[in-house]
Amino acid sequence: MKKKPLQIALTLAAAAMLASACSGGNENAGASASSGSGKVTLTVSRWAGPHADDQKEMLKQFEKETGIAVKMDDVDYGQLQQKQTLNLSGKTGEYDLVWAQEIWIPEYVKAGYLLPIDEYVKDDSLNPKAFDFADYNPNLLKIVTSDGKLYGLPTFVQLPLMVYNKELLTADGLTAPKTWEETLAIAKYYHDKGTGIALPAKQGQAAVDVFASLIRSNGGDYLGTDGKLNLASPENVAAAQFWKDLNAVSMKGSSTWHFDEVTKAVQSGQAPIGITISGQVGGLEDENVSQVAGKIGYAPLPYAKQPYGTLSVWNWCVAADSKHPKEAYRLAAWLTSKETEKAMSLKDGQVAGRQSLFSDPELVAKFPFFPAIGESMKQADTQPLSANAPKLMDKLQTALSAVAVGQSDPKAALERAQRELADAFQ
Amino acid sequence: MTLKPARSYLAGFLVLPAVAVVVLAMIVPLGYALVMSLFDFGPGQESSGVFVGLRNYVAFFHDRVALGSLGITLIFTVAALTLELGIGIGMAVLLSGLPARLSKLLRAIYSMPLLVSPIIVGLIWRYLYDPTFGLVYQWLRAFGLEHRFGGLSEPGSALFSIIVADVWQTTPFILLVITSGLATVPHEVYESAKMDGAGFWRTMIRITLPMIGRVILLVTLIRGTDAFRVFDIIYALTGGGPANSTMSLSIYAFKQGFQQYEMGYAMAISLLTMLVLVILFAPLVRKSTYMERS
Repeated sequence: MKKKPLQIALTLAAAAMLASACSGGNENAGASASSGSGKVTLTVSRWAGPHADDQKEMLKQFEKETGIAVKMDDVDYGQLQQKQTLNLSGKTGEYDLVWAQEIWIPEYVKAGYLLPIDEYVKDDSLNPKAFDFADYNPNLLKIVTSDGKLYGLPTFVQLPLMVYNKELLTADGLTAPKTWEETLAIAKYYHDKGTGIALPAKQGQAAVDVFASLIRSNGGDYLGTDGKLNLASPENVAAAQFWKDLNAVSMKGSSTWHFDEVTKAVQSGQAPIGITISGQVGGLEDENVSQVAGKIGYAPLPYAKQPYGTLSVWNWCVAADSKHPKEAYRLAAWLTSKETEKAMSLKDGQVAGRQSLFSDPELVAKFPFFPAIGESMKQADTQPLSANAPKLMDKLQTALSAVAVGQSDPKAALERAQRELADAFQ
Repeated sequence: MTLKPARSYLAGFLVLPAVAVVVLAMIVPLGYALVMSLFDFGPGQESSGVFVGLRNYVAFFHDRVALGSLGITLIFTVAALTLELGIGIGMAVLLSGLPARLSKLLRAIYSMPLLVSPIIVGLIWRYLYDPTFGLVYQWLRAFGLEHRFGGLSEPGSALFSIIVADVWQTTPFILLVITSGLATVPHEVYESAKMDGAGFWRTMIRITLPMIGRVILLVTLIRGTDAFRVFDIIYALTGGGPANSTMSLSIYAFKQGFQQYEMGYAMAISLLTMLVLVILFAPLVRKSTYMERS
């Protein structure tokens, strides 16, 4: 009988533990809900970095203007898609607005993660003054449109660009390269002197984005005129051969570099020439971090017949499970308004999806690479956005990495990728 | 006698929380993964998944990259584990022979890499291995060897470079566990061995290693299973490249799930990883429980 109180206590403790084990896991629910005071707090998901920090500063102004608070969940680019997918698929309601890359959009739309915003676009009460929807680049809007419905607002355009130290080139009696041959000659010249061209040749998407420009500049593409996969066409094989030749005269380590490392190599003055992405070239002109500010020349990627850009665009998309979709859209419209985009561009040279800003005199004067981006944008396309595109990108990442490190013959690598993709592209 | 049934009910009731945790945290997710690996679906599209039976498992054995990643994972596990055990045990024994204060200080210094997250270790080593900026190449340059070592840039040396980084990070774990194992060996045993004229190697092979056998077995189990599931350090260093030469099973499963949107296939790969782990390490688990009993 003496043991009874102990038994009761243990039983109650066990029941309490069981109850606590069964609850939980709901901590995130309502993360974006209104706080007790009735103030709406939105949570946005995007990648972390200097651009995100600049944007956080801008968001304070939005909060002041609208009274809507914004919490930014900025994570490393490598983790972003995974985190968004986990949250959106789990319908946690944690994110109200997500920053999504164009290649993710078809999958997100198909999975029902995103909310169509056509009705909101027409509602002037949700848009900032002088919103001017027609000013968004129509090609970019097409990317976020599916079955006639608009799923986001384009904001951050990226294109791979060629950058070179024009002061160094002039001193060495060289002229700025444009074509494949000219680029190879200059890369070889500097390779013989111990450096070479800095390339984003790590097994990953950067190399495939560069490759897309190369094949299209040579009149090739992934699909033939009959719409069937034709990776090993003569135009594509020539582009892959150029990639191999360029890697042979690249800076040591290029096969482990993404755009970030290329930018760093150019920024530090180590690389006389390199291929990086427009979103990072602002850092080359920043005297605080760059030893080559004011010395850099910009050009579209090297071409065989005509320059061709590989377009990548980030879009603000309202999450389908957002508890505040109208406020989330309001933030998207504000962030992509001409005024906000220009302010962001002036901060770090970002390229927005607004047509009028490409020729804005103030921006062009501050950022000398804007004309090169304008030139690249004349003929530009995204990577394929079809459901089987991720498979194609994956196989090309492997093939181009093998070509870059000299493990595969360009033609054999493309033929192998073609064979392996036969089922997916039937 | 009448109390017995009531007591056994209570005993059953008391283990309920533990049972609930095991069921909720282990059996349910495992069962879910097993079922979903029989479907073809993308992330968050479980409800629209198409039943494909064992197709995902059959596909694995026809997938050149998947089989390659199995081989790479095995090489990584064996090489990393061997080096870590060898260096960890060696250092633990050497440190135990030093004066107590010095060995404590050195152990604390050597244990520092353990405090860094693997993804950060990956980033640190990525810059160490950078041929233009990295320390490794600066050292190699001093000996004129910089052109002989491909580092992370070449398929032939990338996996080795990752193993070195992994050994740097995880050897301290082995060192700490083995040190605690060594502390349990009675000092008298060493003294009598010394009196009998046993040298360093003889003492090591005949006394030290057999007496810390259980600890070595345990640490092999923990570190071995961990190494087989390697993800973050490879992800940060090479992402699986160049030319898939460092693609581990976990990296491949991640890529299939979150970049190719083949969640069913990713789950099949993860379950096959688990199956290989069980085949490899089950004998060790059995051995360790046998030793526990004996």
